This record gives sequence, C-alpha cells and structure tokens, in this order.
Amino acid sequence: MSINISQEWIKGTVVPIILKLLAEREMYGYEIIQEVQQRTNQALQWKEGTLYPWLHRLEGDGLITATWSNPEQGRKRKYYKLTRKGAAALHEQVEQWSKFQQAVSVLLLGINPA
Amino acid sequence: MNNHSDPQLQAFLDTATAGLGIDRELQLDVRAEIESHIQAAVEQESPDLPPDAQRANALHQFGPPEEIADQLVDANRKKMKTRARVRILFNAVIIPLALLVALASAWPILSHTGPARDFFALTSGFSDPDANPAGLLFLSANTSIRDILKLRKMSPIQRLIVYGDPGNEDRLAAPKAVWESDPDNRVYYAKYVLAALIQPRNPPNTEGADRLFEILEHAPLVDPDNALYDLIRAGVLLNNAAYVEAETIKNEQDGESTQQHKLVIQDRDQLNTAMSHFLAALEHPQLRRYHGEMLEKQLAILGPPTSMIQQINQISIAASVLLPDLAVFRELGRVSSLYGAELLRESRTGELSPNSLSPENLLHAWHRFGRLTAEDAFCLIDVLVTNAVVGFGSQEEEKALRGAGRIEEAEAVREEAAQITRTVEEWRASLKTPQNDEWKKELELRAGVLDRMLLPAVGHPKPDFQMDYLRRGREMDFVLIEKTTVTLLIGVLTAMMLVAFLLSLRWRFSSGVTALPILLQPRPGHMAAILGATVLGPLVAILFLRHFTPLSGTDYSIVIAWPRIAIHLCLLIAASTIGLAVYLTKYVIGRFRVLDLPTPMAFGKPFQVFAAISIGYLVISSLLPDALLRNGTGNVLAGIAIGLTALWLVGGAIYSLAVGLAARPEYGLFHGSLCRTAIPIFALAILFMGLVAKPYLSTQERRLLAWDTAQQEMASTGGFTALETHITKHLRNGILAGYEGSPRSNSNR
Repeated sequence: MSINISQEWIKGTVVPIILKLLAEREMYGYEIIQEVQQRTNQALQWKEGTLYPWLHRLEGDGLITATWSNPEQGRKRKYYKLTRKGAAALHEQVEQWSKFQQAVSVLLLGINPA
Repeated sequence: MNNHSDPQLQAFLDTATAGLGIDRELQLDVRAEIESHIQAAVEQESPDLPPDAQRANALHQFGPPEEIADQLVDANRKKMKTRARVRILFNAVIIPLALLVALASAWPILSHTGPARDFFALTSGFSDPDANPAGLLFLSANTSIRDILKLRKMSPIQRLIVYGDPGNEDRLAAPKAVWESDPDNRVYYAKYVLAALIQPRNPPNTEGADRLFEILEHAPLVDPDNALYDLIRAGVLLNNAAYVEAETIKNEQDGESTQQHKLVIQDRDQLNTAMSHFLAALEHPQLRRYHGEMLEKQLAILGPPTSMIQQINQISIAASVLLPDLAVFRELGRVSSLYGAELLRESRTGELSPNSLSPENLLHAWHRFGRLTAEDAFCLIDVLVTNAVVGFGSQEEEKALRGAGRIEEAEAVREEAAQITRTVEEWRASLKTPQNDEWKKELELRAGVLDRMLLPAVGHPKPDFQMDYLRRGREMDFVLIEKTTVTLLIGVLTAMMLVAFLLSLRWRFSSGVTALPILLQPRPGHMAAILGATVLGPLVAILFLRHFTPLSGTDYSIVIAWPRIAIHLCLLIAASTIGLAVYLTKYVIGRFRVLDLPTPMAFGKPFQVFAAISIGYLVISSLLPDALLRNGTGNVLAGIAIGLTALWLVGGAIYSLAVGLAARPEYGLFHGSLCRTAIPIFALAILFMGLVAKPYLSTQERRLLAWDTAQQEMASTGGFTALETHITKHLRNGILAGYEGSPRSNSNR
C-alpha cells in the first residue's frame, strides 16, 4: 500500500536518509533512489531530480565526497561516500530524529514515552 | 541509447545545467552525472517500450529541468564561489608570483649586461665572462639578486677599494682615487705605490718609472718609518743596472745538479745607487706592505659571506692581491748578496757613497732583510720568499767568507741560517713524505672543490685536524649542485608554462574549435598527488637522501661521487618535467572521459612500458651502494641515466609541440584544456622550487659556511683557509724564533 507522504515531511528526512545509506556503503545517485524506494516499500518516492541538489549541497558542506568510477570499466557513475564529518552529522541527526519522533508520537499517537 | 545524437536528452541536460555555465567544468560534471542517472533509469524501463518512450519516462521521473536547474544553482553556489575564488587567486597571485620568482631566479643568468655581468667580471676573476660559459652558468645559477644588489649598495670609493676599476685603461686611476680620498692613510698609499710598481718595471727615465718616483716623493710624509718605499726605489733602479744569471751545473761524479748564480752588471753607478737605497731601507724600523690590512678593509666592506658565491668572491679578492713587491725583494736579496761577494772578492772598498756600508754589509744584508720580510709576512708565499732570501743570502755569504779564508765566520753564518730556516725546511721535507702523499689521496677522494684547490699546497695537517672539516666542503659542493639544478628546473618549468599558455591561446583562437579551453580544477588532494609524485616527492627525497650517507654519495667528493649525483639529478629532472607532464595528461584524459568530451588515445602500451623501465632504472640506480657507483660501472650507469633523461626531455618537447600545434581539430578542446590546466600546476611547482626548495638550500649553504672551518679567517690571519693560516703562522713564528736565538739578531754587521 502506498501512502502519499507530504513533501514537507520528506524534505526534513532527505539528509539523514542519504547519510544513513552512504554510511553503509558508497552509492551513486540512482542507486540511492532505488534503495530508498525498496526499503520503504515505495512509501518514500523521491523526485529523482531533486536528489542531486541535495547530494551537491552535502558535498559542498563536506559531509560526503564524490568520485567518478573509471569509465573504462563499465558505465561511468559518480559514487558518493560518507566523510568523518558526515558520520558525526549522521549521528547527531539520528539522535535528533529519535527525540523528535518520540515527542511527536506522544502528541499525535498518545504513546507513553516511558 | 546514443546520447550524443539524442537532441531531446541534450536539450533536457542543457536546461537543467544552464545555471552552472559560469563554471564550465562543474557544469559538464553535473551534466554527466544527470545523464548517467537518466541512462540507468532508461535501463530500468520495460524493454517492451520503444526507446523514445523509455527515455520520456525516465525524463519525466527525473522532474522538470527548469526546477532542477534552480535547485542545482542553489546547491552549488558555495562550490562555484569557492572555485571562482581559487581561479582568481591563481590568475591574480600565484601565476604572477611564479613568474616573478622565475625572473628573480633567472635574471642573473639571463642578464648579460649591467650589474650581473659586472658582478661576474669583478667577482669571478673572469675578465671576459663569455670565455668560460660553464663557470658563468654555475656562478649565475647560484647568485641571487641580493648578491648583485649588495654590489650596488657600495659607495664608489668602496667599490674601488674592493674591486678596483678593471675597465679603466689607466690601472693607477682606482688606487690613486682611493688614496686621494684619504691622503694620510698609509694603507691606501701603499696600495697606490704597489699598483704603480705593477706597471712594467721600466728603467728609470721612462714614463712609468718617473711616475712611480713621483708617487714615492710622498713616502717620507705619509709613512716615514716604512722600509717599503726605499726597497721599491732600489728595485726600480736595479732595472738595467744588474741582473742575476743562473746556470745549472751537473756534478759528473754523483750526477746531482746545482745552480750557480752570477751577477751581470750593466750599470755600476746605477747599481751602487740602488744598493744604497737598499741598505737605507734596512735602517728603517719596519717593513709594512699592508696587504693584510687592505684585504681586511675589503672584506669588511663586503661583510661576512652568506652564500658560497660571496665566499668565492672573497677568496678571489684575496687571491687577486698582487704581490709585485715579492719579485723586487727576491731580486734585491740576490743582487745584494752577489754584489757584496763580488766586492769582497775584488777587495774593492769605497765603491759606495760615504754613508754606505762595506761589502760585508751587503753580504750580510740578508739577515736584516729576512727579519723585516718575516715580520710582515702576510701569506704562505711571503714566508717562502723570506726563507729563500735568507737561504740564498746566507749561502752566498758563507761561500764568500770561505773564499776569503774566514772559515769560522762562514760556519757561524751557516749555523745561524740553518736555525732561521729550520722550520720551513722541515715543513718542506714533510711535503715529500708518504704521509703527505696519503693526505693528497684523501683530498682527491673526500675534499670539496675549494679544499682540493687550496689545501694540497699547505701539506699534511696536524694530527688533531678533524677530517670532518672536509665533509663540510664536500656537502657544500652537493648543495651548490642541487641549487643549480633547482634554478635550471625553475627555468624549464617556466618555459613549459609559457609554452602551455601560448598553445592554449592557439587552440582558443584556431578555427574548428568551438569551445573555450576548459580550466580543470583538480581537488586539493589531486593537486597534491600530482605535484607530490612528480615535483615535491622526488625533490624532498633527494634532499633527504643527502643526509643519509650510505645513499647520498656525500662520503666522497663530487668528483668521485658524480655518477650518483648525476643519477639523482636525472631522476629529479625527469620527474619534475616529463613526469609532471605525463601525470597531468593522464589526469586530463580521465577527466575528459568522465565529462564525455572528445579525447585522443591515451598513452599506448609501448610508451607505458618504456616509461616504467625508465623510472624503474632511475630509482633503482639511485639506490645502489657506493661501491658499485664509484668505479667504471658508475660511469656507465650515470651515462645511461643522462641519456635516458635527455631522450625523454628532447622527445617530450618535440612530441608535445608537434601534438600541440598540429593535432586534429576535434581534439583542440582537449589540447587547449590540457595546456590551460597545466599553467597553474606549473606555477605551483615553480613556487615550490623558488620559495621552498631554493631557500632551504640557501639555508643549508649558510649553515655549512658557518661550520666550514676550513674556509674561514682570511684577512686578519693572512690566509685563505684555517690550515694555510695555521701553517703560515707556524712557519713565520719559526723563522722569527730562529732570529731570536741568533747572536746577530738586530744587527746588520
């Protein structure tokens, strides 16, 4: 079942999701899109074109780096991987998300934080 | 999907990346990335769909290009700003600075007029610098603008004091001007008189001699106690008055050869006048030529040397101190002894003026004369001339006394002279010992260039002489060669940079090339890798190796260690020029392939194999032990290294120019971009060489100068090296000690 999730919600999670995926292994843009769709069971359907501005922004902030694969060894792809700064940022964002999610869940779902 | 012929895709990409046009490389990079994404998306589409539909779906999934364009601009704004700042930094600062550094480094070499040429002519002793191009190149490569500016800072009088006026036909103009600047100065006056003596020693009544006598009229006022001026007058008067003829006579019994000297009198009256001045000179309390004082003054103007070139300058000044007086002294010593002997033989008395002395005074003049010259001995040759005067004079006196039947007196003279000359004779004998031969061999093996020139003459040093002294001189040679190489490399890299600039313009404006050459901006890590592998790495490795004795070659002089030096420098030159060019080309090829731009073929297999062999050969041969490199094998290995490097340089230059000028137009963007990208990288290499490597080597030079105790203490102690100074002092003191023990130490009778 696909749920239309508000773009506003999605925007707020793009960065931690990208960082999380790249923490597992280096990936190229299309692969990131595919991973997100597969793992969320199509619940998150990012606009593909908007991924790249995010990736470039994160690269500019030093949270990820990019390397082109050797075009002589198959199709050329630009792989991204997490930097140390990115790993630290991911850790912080995951913590923030956890607290945010708990707080919102208490309010919206009446879940007892304890 | 053939992307290049897909107008829809191209139009999509054009729109999506339109906002990034200000940074062409970035635009193409993003474009390639998006294209790669679209391709991957198309591959995921159902194979049942036609290609157009597949592509349309993929593009639709990607999103509106206009929206993406704005987001891409926003996301890359910071990056574009940073990259733009870097470009400005390079164009406004780094490249101009590199050109300045190159100019400062090359100016002494390039400049054949004005201060640089004057500097070389004055400081190197090359009256015609063009006569020794290798020497001029070496000197100029190790000369800094500071050295030349130091010359300009001198006042006109200071310049005359230090260097004279070699361009002036009147050789007396400079010393005259110096003396006239301070007429009471005895040192300047003596220099003026001695300069006048250098003129061909004409007989009196000629213009040269008349001028000298005119100058000598000031002597009683300027320096009344100095014997020098009467001696000079006597010496000039001796011209055409008498001379000594030497004949070698072989003893048929033992085969030994001896020299017999005979006085030939041409003008007895003039000879008598000369001798009266000679004896009058010996009445003075002292003989002062002021060579040491003048040299001290000259070196004080120059200041302590802070570079090898300055030290060579100072050594050449010291070496160029002319000693015309020594020839006069030697002649006077011989003539006076022979004339006294002749007068004694003929029992002719009363030949001289009423105030003159008897033939005995002439015969014994050597005693007083020798003491005067010993007390004023300035350098080793002074001491040796003193010894010769004493030796010759005493022998003639002894012979004359024996001939007159005065055996006891003759014996006393012989013993006295032996006492005075003992120290010098012992030293002379030491020069012929096996120990001295071993010392000379050691100098051949381990002494620096200057030490090899200056030390053999002084003989074996005392046992406490530290062989470590020689190491400093050796190291200095290595440092200077490295400095010369770095200077030449700066020149080559600058030439490469300028050629790259011209070629980039060529491709920019040539027909058939529709796009501006792209300035590719490697990331800092890439830049560091390119420069590190080709320029920084080899240079640092070689400088580091110099401190690691087993592989540095510094255990031996550069004459012995030249194969290792040659191999090291070949490696450095090849890596910094060809290596850099090849590495850069590979980088640009890789980048162009990523950016989907037309690229010529990469380096073929044969090229790669030959490059690997060459690099491998240079690296391995540079790490071979000394034992292998010191003999004929080393010469062969070095020859191969030089040949390989030359081949690469010449071949590389020809190939690059041919390709750069005559390549196919469809690759014009590639060649233009390669050239344009190379310029800042060459600039960084030049800056590293000029602002890091060369100053580091200059620091090493200064350190070695400060520690190089074999090359210090010049004017004040009279020698060029501490060893020579030590020997001179030792021999001089030995002579004077011999006088102290003599019963007739202060007498002319």
